[in-house]
Amino acid sequence: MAQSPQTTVAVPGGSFLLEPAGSTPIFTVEDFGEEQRAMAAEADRFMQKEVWPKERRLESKEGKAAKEMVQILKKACDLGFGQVEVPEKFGGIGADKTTALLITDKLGTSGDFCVTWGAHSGIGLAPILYFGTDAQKKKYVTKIADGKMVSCYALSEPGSGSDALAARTVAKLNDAGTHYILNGTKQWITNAAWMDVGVVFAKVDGDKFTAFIVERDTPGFTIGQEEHKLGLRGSSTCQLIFNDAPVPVENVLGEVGKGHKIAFNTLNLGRYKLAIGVLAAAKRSLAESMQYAADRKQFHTRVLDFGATRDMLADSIIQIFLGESLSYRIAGNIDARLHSLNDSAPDYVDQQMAAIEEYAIEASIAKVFCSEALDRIADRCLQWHGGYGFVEDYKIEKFVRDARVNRIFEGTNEINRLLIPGTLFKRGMHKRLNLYGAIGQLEQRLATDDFAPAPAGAEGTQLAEFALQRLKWLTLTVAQALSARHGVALEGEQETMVGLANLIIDVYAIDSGVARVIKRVAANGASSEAIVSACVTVAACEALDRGTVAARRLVESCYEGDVLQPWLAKIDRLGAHLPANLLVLRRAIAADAVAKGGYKLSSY
Amino acid sequence: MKILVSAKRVSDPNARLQVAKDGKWIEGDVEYVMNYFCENAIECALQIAESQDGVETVAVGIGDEDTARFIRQGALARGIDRGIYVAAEESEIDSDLIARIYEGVVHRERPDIVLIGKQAVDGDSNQVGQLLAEYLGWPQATFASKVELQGDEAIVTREVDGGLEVIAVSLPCVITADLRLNEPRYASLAGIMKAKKKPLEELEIDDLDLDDADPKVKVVALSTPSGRKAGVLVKDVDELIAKLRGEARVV
Ligand SMILES: Cc1cc2nc3c(=O)[nH]c(=O)nc-3n(C[C@H](O)[C@H](O)[C@H](O)COP(=O)(O)OP(=O)(O)OC[C@H]3O[C@@H](n4cnc5c(N)ncnc54)[C@H](O)[C@@H]3O)c2cc1C
Repeated sequence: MAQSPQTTVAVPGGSFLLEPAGSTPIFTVEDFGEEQRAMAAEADRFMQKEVWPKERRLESKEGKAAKEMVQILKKACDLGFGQVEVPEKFGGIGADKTTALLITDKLGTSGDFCVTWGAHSGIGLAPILYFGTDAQKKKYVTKIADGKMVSCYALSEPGSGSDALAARTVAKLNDAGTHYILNGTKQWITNAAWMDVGVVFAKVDGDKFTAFIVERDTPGFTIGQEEHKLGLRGSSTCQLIFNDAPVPVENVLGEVGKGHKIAFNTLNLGRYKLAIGVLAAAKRSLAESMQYAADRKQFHTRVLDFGATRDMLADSIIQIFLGESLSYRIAGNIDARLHSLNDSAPDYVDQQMAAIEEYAIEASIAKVFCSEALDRIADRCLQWHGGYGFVEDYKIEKFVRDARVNRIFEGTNEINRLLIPGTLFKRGMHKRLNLYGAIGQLEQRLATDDFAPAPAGAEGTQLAEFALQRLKWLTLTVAQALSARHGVALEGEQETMVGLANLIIDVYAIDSGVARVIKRVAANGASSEAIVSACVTVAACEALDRGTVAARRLVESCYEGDVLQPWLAKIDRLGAHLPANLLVLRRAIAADAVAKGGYKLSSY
Repeated sequence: MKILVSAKRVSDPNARLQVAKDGKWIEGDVEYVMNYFCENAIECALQIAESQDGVETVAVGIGDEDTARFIRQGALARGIDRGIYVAAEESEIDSDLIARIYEGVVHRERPDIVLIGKQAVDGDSNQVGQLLAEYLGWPQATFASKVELQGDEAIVTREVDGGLEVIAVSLPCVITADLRLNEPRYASLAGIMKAKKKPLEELEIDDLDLDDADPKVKVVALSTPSGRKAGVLVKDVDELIAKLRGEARVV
């Protein structure tokens, strides 16, 4: 079994907002051992040799290229990449979540393959792996993992995307009681053209949301035309059309009427994986574009050497470092919980799902943070190319096109943003998370402490830690203000919820970065970690600037006059603009990346 | 039958190398990869082992501690049966000493074939296979692009200037692998996990009882290539030819 060392403990999801940074150890890529690194290196090699050179041809999907993606997929399965998360009992490797995330990371560097692979080995396999009966697992899991069958996952419909439970595809048991007869249409289904099997959601008798395993040769089941997409053109996206299609009763996945359990848990699993995949794409965009910017001269100066370029570069490096830190942290947290489970317990699956759901807030943050980081980074990389970024001679135009959809699928970023504070408040209310206790403690502190506007003589990560703690307190104060004002009606105040979500996203990203830097400094000493320390300092100070203003605007949006004043006074005490020359730090971050030829703040 | 293959790590040819402070070696903080030609040698050995029964394959790596990792992940994970790691300071061994170390290993292992990369893409010396054959008194077939075994002979197609040469060498022999010999396979995840359990023997140079364990070549200085000089624009073809004759002396 491939496993990471257990470096982390099972903290409650959402507790990052309540506890000081680094108060519990987090898993970071630095923890990977030799075996995992060897797997990663092989996955990386596979992508560079088997996928990167074929990307343009794959996009055409014409002639021979139509089948080429499937061949690549099967080759990846031959090397065992499909078996990573399959338990040994079913012929797999039974790797833990951190190892699985590492493989997803390394296979994520090409959008078309990444989405094809994710639909097949991730969302197309996981529902059967977790919720299937032994007979279903025996029949399908090995075949999918070995690439003998290509899989897909069909939830969305023409009329229901974000509101997936409003699906209109129906299933009705036939008179003989042997088959469910499916009618309806699924929309945007990745791998549709190549699928041999799929997990399809339909409502039994029009109201009981249920998952089915559907095989390609089912009568009455057809595949629609390929969509003409902005990006990911090398992947297949079509409708699945069901016209009185009989599906055997033994292919019901999980229980009739419990399909939502499968749908939502699959999303929880998929989101932090999407996050690491898109970061891999961002790293590649950056590496290729830095090369271009190093070769291109204007005004006798390399484009890479202009301050304006370097500023964007520093930003990109910071975003990648934070994204990496938070994504692997989630996998490590889940592993810590899964580790303590007994796999022969009768409710093992429910316990596994609970372990994953525990970090639903973090997974939504990862999805939003990383997909937006990729868009920003790819867009800036295109900018460095000038006009050459706008034509097909360079791959950056493709990277930009491929990036965009990541903000749409696996729950749009709006849906994910709304989930972040929504889930947090729910857990606070149900006392799953000590949110209101922490708010009470802050309240007491405000009565006794005089909050210094800035730390005296801060060094290393101290400034970042100071700024981060202030940001946490500001966020708690905003949460307190909003829930006091709106109560349960807050859910309807989407603009406000989104504003609060942005604060929480900043907190989690910076908290993860700071915790990682603390860990690295403890291992390697402060002097060799100066650049990562600069990264979190810049991120934290800037987030506190933004957060202070945002907090004021948020309370101003729901209070006025005498009631407003005490809230603003609190924010003024907690918020701060820290005196620091961030430009010097940004320049150092960029210069380091230029000297090393790309994002090199981690090597794994 | 037993086949010995080479497993050498090299600094990633795509990495930016920096000369170390003493001017005689490179800075240690670089990425390493398996020498490309060793990958061809490994693949060749695996194909032979798969095509007939009773073939044992052994990978040999010489160098810094990290070399053991390359033997495991580059050779054993791909299917080589076991490994031998000989510890040595990479900055203090030359091609001749490496050939002598191989010679020592050959005396211990008594293989039928030694399959070595034709050269390492870091030092680019292209000497070890030839020296080893000389020390062993074995026939050699260098720059192999095809290897076939027939009885107690190896039929080897060699890539020579301007074409191919097919030769037969009797076993035991030394063969050096060229790039077109084959397409090296990937290590499967199962292979990587199995590699952990395969035997990997660790030796010191002293364990090999070499008559002569001194390097013959001393690195005096290393330097990075100087940047290219700016070109000049010529007015016409006549001036170009004049310059090629006079200054460049190429025509
Ligand atoms: C290339 C591609 C591949 C895909 N692959 C698959 C697949 O394999 N399987 C699958 O099942 N699906 C797949 N999808 C579908 C994808 O999951 C949906 O597109 C996505 O869930 C959004 O649904 P929608 O397109 O219907 O948009 P809508 O739900 O109509 O959303 C439109 C806009 O409204 C916003 N919005 C919706 N509801 C709310 C709300 N409550 N509050 C605030 N804003 C809201 C959204 O954020 C969005 O901006 C794929 C889509 C694409 C483009």
